[in-house]
Amino acid sequence: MILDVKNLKKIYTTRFGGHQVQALTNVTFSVEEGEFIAIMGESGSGKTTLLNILAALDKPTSGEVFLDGKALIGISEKEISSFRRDNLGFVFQDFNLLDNFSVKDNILLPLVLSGHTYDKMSTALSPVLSKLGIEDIIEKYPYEISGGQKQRVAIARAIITNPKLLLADEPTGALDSKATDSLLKLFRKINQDGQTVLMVTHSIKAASHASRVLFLRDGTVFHQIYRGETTNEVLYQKISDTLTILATGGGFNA
Amino acid sequence: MHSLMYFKLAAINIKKNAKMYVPYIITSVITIMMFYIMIFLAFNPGLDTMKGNDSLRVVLSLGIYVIGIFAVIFLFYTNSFLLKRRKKEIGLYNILGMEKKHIAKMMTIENIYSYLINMILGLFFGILFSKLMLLLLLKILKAGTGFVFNISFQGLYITFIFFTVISILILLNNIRQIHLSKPIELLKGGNIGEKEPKTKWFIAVVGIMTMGTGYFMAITVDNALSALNYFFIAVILVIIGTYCLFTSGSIALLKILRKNKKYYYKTNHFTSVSGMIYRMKQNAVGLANICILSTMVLVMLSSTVCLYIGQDNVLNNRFPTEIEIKTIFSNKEDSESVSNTVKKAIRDGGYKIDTYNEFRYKTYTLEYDKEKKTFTSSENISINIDKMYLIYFFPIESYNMQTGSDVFLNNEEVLIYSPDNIDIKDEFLIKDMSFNVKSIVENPGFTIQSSGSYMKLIYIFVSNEDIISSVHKQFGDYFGDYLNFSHVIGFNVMGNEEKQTELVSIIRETLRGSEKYKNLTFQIYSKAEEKFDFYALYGGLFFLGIFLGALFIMATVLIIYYKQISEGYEDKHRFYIMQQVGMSKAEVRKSIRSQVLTVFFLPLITSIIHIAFAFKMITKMLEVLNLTNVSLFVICTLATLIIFAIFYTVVYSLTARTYYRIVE
Repeated sequence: MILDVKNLKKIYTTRFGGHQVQALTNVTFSVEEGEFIAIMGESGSGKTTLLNILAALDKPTSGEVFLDGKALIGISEKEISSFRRDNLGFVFQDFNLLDNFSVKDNILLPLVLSGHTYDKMSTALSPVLSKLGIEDIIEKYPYEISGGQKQRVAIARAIITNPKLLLADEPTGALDSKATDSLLKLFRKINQDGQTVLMVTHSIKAASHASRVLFLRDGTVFHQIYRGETTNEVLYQKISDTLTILATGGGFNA
Repeated sequence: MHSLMYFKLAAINIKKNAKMYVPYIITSVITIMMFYIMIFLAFNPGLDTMKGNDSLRVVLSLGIYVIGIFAVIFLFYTNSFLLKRRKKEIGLYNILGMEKKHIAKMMTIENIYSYLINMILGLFFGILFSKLMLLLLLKILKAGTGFVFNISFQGLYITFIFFTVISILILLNNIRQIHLSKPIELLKGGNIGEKEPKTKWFIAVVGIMTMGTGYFMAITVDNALSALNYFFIAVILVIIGTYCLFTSGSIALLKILRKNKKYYYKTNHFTSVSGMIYRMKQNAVGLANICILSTMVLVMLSSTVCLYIGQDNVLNNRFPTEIEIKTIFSNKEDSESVSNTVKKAIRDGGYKIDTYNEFRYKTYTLEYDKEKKTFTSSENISINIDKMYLIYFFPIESYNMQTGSDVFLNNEEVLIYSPDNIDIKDEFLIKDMSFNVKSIVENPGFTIQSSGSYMKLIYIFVSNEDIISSVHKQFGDYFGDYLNFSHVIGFNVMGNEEKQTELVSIIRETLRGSEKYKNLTFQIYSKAEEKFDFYALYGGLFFLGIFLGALFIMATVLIIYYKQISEGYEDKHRFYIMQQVGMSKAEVRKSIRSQVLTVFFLPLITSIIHIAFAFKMITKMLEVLNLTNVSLFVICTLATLIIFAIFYTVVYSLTARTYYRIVE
């Protein structure tokens, strides 16, 4: 078990303490090594809050998170950055590449921050480049390449440290359908190579590439679907049905 | 669209952009205020009756021009900054359905609003503070209250016209910019220019060469005349060099660092090198501006402060005695007669005097050849300026009389004295006549007013005036065929300055009124009268130095403030991403802090280097203004530097707060 989330609860209090918003009520799930999890839910269902807690960017009100057996909550403020750098990879909807770095430097950024030697970085770089098919653009700058390419670069940056868990927040949100398709295939390929992926998404298409889909509603895990042996199309249909039920407010008796 | 709407929108826009607009308005108000005050002072009718008003008026009028030119450049600069930051907003209006002419209309109203605020407040504060400035000026000039305080309608009129024209030009420029731009570009406004800058090697090399040449000129200069000649060339070269090196040199250097993989891919260097490339591209011109403004402030303040503090010193150099009567082209009989007349006037008036000295001399400007130990007439004074000597010939009796000694010289023997470093030791020739130096004296017993040391000064005492005649004859008619001596009488008057003025006017009337002396040319000075000219000039310069210094400092502050704001908006996103990728908040803050520090202190450090190189040149130029006290200038420069650096740091840390508020 690579990730274990137990009874997560998160309550936001407005600045003057008058108003409380419960973002997560009680979230419990776990992720096995090598899984590709998609988390779905409507706006306000607590997806982003959950992701921020998993990324150690935010702390829960109560509950626990274990990454590879290590409790995330207890890590000190000092260690948290290097812990995040070494164990987690991030992919964002708007890529978050730094414009003043070339593609190569963007990818190497986490390694440089960890203080690796340049030789070590070069060795780590080439397999990642070929996996993502971006060898030709490494000398370019983010403003010179397309959205799909940017997202590949962002993925390269996320996996170059061999993270235990790759967190993706709406990775296809800013892409056209063609780029979305190829990017999702890429995610599956990375996953098949052994990378555990946890993706938060709105897109049924994106979720239909996952091996398991979790549905969040009102701050709890409301339902989940396993891919099993089904094809993407069948999974797509299943997800779509579930979302309809979620939207119309029905219940499951699974 | 209803036209009232424009007025409303314009008002809202100003309010919403207060962070940008308020500093702009404050700057404009202060510039207008200072411009008015300068005109008020320069054209003040009270100046007419003041002694030394000519020099003062020249200095103050110079101030008007400087402020005027500065106002044009600076207001355009700040306005362009304002417009750049607002491009997104304007683009949004355009996309939401306002046509460009509507936007132009809105902008016009906005500009009219700010124009009215600037003009009204500027003139109001101008009138308000003109009295204060007047008192300050009078205090600096050590003058009585001769000035008239009133409202200068001429000043109001000129200021009004001048700044109205600037505002109209700025408005036209804004409208032009809006018309030229495309909405998408406007929307992206802030984000354009993210491209990595190209290395412009050519400009970088030009920068190194111009700066190097400027520095070389400044440190190799060794006399006042060439300092004056080369100063402006050196300044312009260094300014060009500063701009080139800030814009291209910095980027070239950073890229070289980036090429070095072992250096570049280190945690500290990685973010700072690439961050600096990006920052230098955005800020190079602004930083060069700050650097040059700071240098100007420092040079101006240190030299004017030094002149002002040293003015009594200078006055004493210039006028060794309180009263001096100089007769040009005087033969022996004339000299004796003038001397007796002066002595009689002193006696008749019952004045008590001391340090009386009297001497006759002849001056020549000759070129000295060190190898041949020979003085000759020079073909080209300005080229051979460092070999030129200003020679005063005296008969030995002048020396004996002043020092109370009894030196006898035979025909070849001389005594010499020089305040400068000279290459003359035992013997020398003047053209074909040879002389032996009997001794080099430390103190000749009197000082002749030294009018700026372009050349080395030497006193040569010879046996008698006939020797001087022989020297003169050697040169044929090169120095005129007739030998003329100058005759100087100098003394101090005991008692107060009024006695001095009284006596000098009596002497002036007696000498100039007498039929006997109608062929003689007199120069009659009293320190009491002349000092007002000095105070007017040096005090005027000092006042101008403070005044313009304040203006330039304000400009520096504003540029730093605007830079901090724009840096802040641009860094905000980068700051966020860095954290996402795994830098801790503290690390990011440290990295950004060090970059921002480098960016803002680079101009200060560069201007200190500029000053260090310019120091010798400025010292030489101050000699022309009779200020030879180098250690005073060192102290003034260091004091100005320290005060300025403290001030700069305070401004930096205050504006840095705005920066961090934006970033976090």
